[in-house]
Amino acid sequence: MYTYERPKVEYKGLSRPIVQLAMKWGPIGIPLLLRFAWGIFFAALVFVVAFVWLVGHFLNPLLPWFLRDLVVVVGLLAFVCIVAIIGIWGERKVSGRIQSRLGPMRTGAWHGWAQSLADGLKFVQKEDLIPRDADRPLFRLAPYVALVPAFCAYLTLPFGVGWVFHDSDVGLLFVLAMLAIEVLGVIMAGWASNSKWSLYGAMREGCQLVSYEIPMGLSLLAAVLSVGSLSLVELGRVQDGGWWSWLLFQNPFLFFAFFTYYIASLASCKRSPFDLPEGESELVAGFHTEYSGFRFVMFFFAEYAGMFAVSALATIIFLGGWNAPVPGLASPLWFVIKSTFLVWVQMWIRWTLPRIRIDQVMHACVKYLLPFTLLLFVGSSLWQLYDNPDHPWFEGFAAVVRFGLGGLGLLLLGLYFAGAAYGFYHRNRLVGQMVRKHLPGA
Amino acid sequence: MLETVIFFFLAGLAVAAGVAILLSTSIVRMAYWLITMLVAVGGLYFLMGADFVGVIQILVYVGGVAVLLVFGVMLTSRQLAPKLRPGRGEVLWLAIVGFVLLEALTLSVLHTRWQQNAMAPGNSVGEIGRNLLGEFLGPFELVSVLLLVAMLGAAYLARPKVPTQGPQHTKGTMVS
Repeated sequence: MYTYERPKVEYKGLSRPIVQLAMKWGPIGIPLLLRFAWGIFFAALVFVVAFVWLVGHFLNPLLPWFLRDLVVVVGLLAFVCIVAIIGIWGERKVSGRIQSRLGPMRTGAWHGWAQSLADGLKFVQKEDLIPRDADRPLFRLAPYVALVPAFCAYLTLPFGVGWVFHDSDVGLLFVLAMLAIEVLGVIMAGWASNSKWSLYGAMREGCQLVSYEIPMGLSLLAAVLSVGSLSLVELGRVQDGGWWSWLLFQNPFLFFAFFTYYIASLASCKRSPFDLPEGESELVAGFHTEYSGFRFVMFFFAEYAGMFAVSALATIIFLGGWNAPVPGLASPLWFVIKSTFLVWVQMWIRWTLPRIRIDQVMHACVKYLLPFTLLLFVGSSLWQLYDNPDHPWFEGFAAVVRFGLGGLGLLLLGLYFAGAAYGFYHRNRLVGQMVRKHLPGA
Repeated sequence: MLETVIFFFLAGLAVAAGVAILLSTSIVRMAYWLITMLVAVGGLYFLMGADFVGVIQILVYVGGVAVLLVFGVMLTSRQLAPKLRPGRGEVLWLAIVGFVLLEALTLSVLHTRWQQNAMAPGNSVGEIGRNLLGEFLGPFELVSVLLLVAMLGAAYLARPKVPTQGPQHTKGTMVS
């Protein structure tokens, strides 16, 4: 009898102490962690709130600027990692719910929340494979080139007034530029892997991103035009005072620009129906076919960080950012809630729509989305003439349009919640008649 | 102090990447060194407080031009890793062109009066926009016409050489 034994993996560098720590304390720590999960969760919540309050009120004036920067950057990094971990877990739960299966349930305590942590431990322990014919330096560099810009985009994203690392007057362009660098990491990975599936994925990513950047930027420009600023803080500040003053409801062109931006942003962070770069049905796993272990995780983190970043951009520019639906309740919490909702819609779309072909992707962008956004851009510039305060008649007209669009948005949201409530109430009802067919011999 | 350290780091990175472009033989490596250089120059713009120029440098050169460059290299290469090595005659021409370019750049750097009136550090985007549509409207329009001509030229070069679906092709035989 012949059995093949893999050679024992030797851990090197940074992963060695992590694996040793996990091996030693995992069997004791993980059951304890699961047993006291709720307590740990609330303790962490209280600690974070206390820490933010302490830093904001007492330490911030005393701290030298570089320590303040360090604290904020570490906080942002932690935020991105938490977004990615919750996003990966949420993706599984949403897909399970939509496709009538459970998702993580049996392991990882309450609805499998600890599944992502277990994944992380598994990926740290995995062997770091590099193909023999790969371009080694580029292959090793690629995950960093994908992840670091996705994180850098958060440096100018305001979570609220005063809740921003760097209030740049070109914050919007900075986020777009950082999201544009991310594609380089993907192309680098595809090229350096020296595998045809990876190269196909990278080439699809390249042509898809370069094309969809244009409608994405033009839809955002339509909104920038009506405010007259590229600063994200300024863009959020002008939308103060109730849901009807959100830019989405300011004029009919911006209402549609939100949807074109959202479609283009789906393509720009490789989400279905535009996930051709990693189309599993055709390209094994696309550009990250050859990656394993923690480098693979970095691509995943970059994807989820990018998803939240584009949703945050949509929230700040079209959905009022940190402003509440009623005046005077502005808080960073609103920003996080709205962005999370948009991320959830991305998952919803991913698990509902089938993947389209690459020529259809390009066709949809160049022949339909691009002319439509150009039209929106021109229309939004012309609307500035209507929105002129010198002519009271036009001002009244603009106000009527604004409240009409606000009502339309509220109606859509109400219909959405009514549909969700109806579905939840009838959640055990089958679609159509139940078919009972005994198997032969049963 | 810290600004000086960051400046020398970024400038050294840009120069080193420029030298590496010349020394490397693989086209893809060259493209990535070029991207490194462009990002380092963008970092220098950020250091000078010219946020808008830095962001546009990254958005246009790194996000657009460099991606298209890498993309074109991948599509046109015959082997998987194309090597580039100039011939004997080409070296002479390259030396002449390089020397003239270096001389022109050095002379223009030395003979320019750099003490211009500095812009206010506040809203640089608005100031740039006002200047572009005010004082520099003529050059701005000229550049946009030039870009339009370049785009038309690219479209002309990229057009299909043989008419693929003319009426005379589909007239006689119907293949189903």
